[in-house]
Amino acid sequence: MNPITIYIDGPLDALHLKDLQDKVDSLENVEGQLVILECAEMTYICSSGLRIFLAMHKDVTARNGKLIIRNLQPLVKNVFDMTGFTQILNIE
Amino acid sequence: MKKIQLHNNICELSILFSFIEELEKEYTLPPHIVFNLNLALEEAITNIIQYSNLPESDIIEIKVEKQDDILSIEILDNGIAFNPLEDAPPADITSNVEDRKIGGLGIYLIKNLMDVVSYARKGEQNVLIMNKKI
Repeated sequence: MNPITIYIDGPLDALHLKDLQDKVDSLENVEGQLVILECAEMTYICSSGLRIFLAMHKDVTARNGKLIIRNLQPLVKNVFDMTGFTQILNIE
Repeated sequence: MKKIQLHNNICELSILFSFIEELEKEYTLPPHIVFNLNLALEEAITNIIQYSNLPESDIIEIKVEKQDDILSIEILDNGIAFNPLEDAPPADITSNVEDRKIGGLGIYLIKNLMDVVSYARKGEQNVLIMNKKI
């Protein structure tokens, strides 16, 4: 089964949360799927963005799948480190 | 001193981000400082908009002053007295993924991204002051 990849571009601030939420909501059957969040072009994340990542992680895991977050930029990675999200999410 | 006024509406964040771009040019701020300012200010303003219970027409004011290498930022709102440094729920940064609570992250980020953060109630206004060495 091919993984599902979601690409996130630009800042994930409160003004752009809906774009990501719409992409997430449009995902059909993720049962047992590998879902990749490709973040190489994501320049920023706010706390509400982190919450979407956490909710996705829980949702995909509950459906026997796996969520992987890839290629966080250093300043964004720092936010994940600071909030302890690095320890609970799959970050590559 | 530089200042802006935002209406109590989440769409006004675009004005905030433009203002921080102005600060970046004016004070030649490095990328990590700009990133931290965007995040700390977004979290502070979002908290006010979500929890102050004020009408959209109400004004949030942001004042920024630079003294030597310290940026001092004041955020003023007309909401009921609320000290986010004490009244917000503590952030959970250690629980496992199932138990992780998501409240209080914004304030936690502000405290960690800025060097000094303080709160005062002045007259009918909440005043959040954040200092950052640049």
